[in-house]
Amino acid sequence: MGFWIKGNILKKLLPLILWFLVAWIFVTALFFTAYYLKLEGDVSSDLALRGLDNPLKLWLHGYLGQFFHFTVMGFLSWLMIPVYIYVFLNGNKVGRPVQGVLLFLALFGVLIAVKGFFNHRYIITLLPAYTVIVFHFVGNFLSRKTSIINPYQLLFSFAVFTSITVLTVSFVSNRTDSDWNAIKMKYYKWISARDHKKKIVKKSATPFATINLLNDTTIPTSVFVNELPIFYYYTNLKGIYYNPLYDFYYSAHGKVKLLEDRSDNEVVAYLTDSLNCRFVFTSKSKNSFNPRFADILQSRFDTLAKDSYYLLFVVKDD
Amino acid sequence: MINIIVGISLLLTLWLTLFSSANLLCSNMVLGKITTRHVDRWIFIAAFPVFLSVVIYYLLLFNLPANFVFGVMALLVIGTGIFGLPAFSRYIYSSFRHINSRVEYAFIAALSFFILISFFLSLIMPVYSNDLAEYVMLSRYFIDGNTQFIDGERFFENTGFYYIGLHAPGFPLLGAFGDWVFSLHNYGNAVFIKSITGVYAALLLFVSYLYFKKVWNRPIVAVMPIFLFISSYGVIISMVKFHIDTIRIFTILAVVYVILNKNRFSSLYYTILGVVCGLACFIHSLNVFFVFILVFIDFINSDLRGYNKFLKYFISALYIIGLGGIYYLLELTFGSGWVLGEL
Repeated sequence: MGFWIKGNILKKLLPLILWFLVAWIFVTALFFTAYYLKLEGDVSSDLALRGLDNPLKLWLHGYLGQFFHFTVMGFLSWLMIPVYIYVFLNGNKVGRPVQGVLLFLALFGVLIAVKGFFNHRYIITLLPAYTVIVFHFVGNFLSRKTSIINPYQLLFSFAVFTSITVLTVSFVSNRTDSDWNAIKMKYYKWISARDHKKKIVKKSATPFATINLLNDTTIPTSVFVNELPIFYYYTNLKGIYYNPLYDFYYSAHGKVKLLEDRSDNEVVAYLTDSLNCRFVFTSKSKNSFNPRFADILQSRFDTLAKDSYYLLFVVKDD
Repeated sequence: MINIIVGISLLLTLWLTLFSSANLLCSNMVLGKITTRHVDRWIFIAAFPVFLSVVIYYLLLFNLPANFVFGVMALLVIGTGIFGLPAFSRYIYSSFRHINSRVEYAFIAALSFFILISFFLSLIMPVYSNDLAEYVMLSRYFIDGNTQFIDGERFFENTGFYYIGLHAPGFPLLGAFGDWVFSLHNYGNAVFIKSITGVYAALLLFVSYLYFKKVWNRPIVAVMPIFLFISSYGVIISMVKFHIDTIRIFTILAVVYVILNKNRFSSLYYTILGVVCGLACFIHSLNVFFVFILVFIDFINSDLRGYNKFLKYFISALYIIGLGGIYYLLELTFGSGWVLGEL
């Protein structure tokens, strides 16, 4: 009799225990993201913006991003672990198609971790599938009505709490103190200059000052484009498309190296004389892909225009 | 302001016409006799625009003039869309017929608001991400009648643009179709291609809502996962960035759904599997690998034996190749070599 009562109480308390377990994961996530994964150093680099700029982040945001990139995935991957254990232990009950799909998701998870970790958008692929599977299993579990609490109210409060927490974590994470100051300054600037800004946007054909300048100015030469296809969309100019990471540009004859076997002076001469390019359309993050190319731009070119995204350089007159 | 209202109205009309046409051609004529489940039907309605892009791809592959191809497709979609509108409105009504909770009304209101916001953003936000700029450039080339990419060429010598992606042209072709229709009303600027993200995000939420409602039969529970799904900041960012992700995720989850519900489709399962797999491949190259893994696991798990098993999956494979895989085969044999080539 005593054993039965103990077992029954345990069953009734199980949702509550689960609830606290999940809440604990949230709180850990909040602290983890806010204090250990905040941006440091040069935030303009592509790796920093992706949250992969040191070995710890590379592992947590990258290879194990499904579990630790709370901003992107929430905490769903953690809840998939009990589902996998349940399916592993009760294979016959769930049926072979479900086992097959879970095997697929596991393989897919490994594929993402190994090959697709660099781009967080690939991790998101798992999100709808995980949502359906987790809630399907949790729903079946709660439908047994063994709880002393209304299971649906519990699930509802759980979902609301999750949403609020993950959104808070998302807002807090990946920001430095200077980011917070920048947000404040942006707000003040916006308040004081919003009318002026509106006028500027209305006047221009695009919201990008660099592109407007390219379109408004008669440019007789080609433009060297640092891997920004937007150039082709907004202008009718001819661009030479450069890949800064692997240092080559595309031509009708295939890929051609730019910096290899050339001094800085020779690079500038090659751009202006052989490629007929006096302008370079680039961005801060694209410059970070190739430091030597960025140095050449800084030392041998003048900044002609810049906006919130892009930079336009012109070769210095000797 | 008036431009925004006209733009949103045009977007709504075009998407409604597309789905109305899908409901008539695909859902009513093909699926009507097999299944009456809302989730099944909505998956096929949502897959129809991708099917449309496959048809456009074949027509352009045979060097038919772009204006003729887009014109014929637009006439077909608008004609069947208008003709099927009464049936489609009845169907939408029946999808919501059992609404008996304020929570569900709130969900539908929120979903409608979300679609309007995403259309508004499609109209006012510029093209600024690299990937979207690439798709939009391809769309523009298709509209202008330049089918060089479809013939296997990636370098556009007259502008210097080079397409880097590995994916089949499903997404830019669908965008080209919508933007071609919009250009008739001087509403270019890649508005339609940007709206695809929001529409398929809404469809993902809506179909998961229908699924949970069916499984748990309690309105409030059906809305709960939606909270969790939209709580990921990553999903929100993906919606605002106008990317290929929501349609990519929708198509691959359609494959997962069909496999999980294989018993309901009886003898047509292998055809339906082939169709959804093919369309998933035509949207994104990553889906090719997923489809391969999924079909392989399904093949191993299948209760069929011997010759019959191989024959059924061979039929599926033919559909996969015909409705999306063909692009990758052509790329591998005559084009840039796809994943084996050098980008």
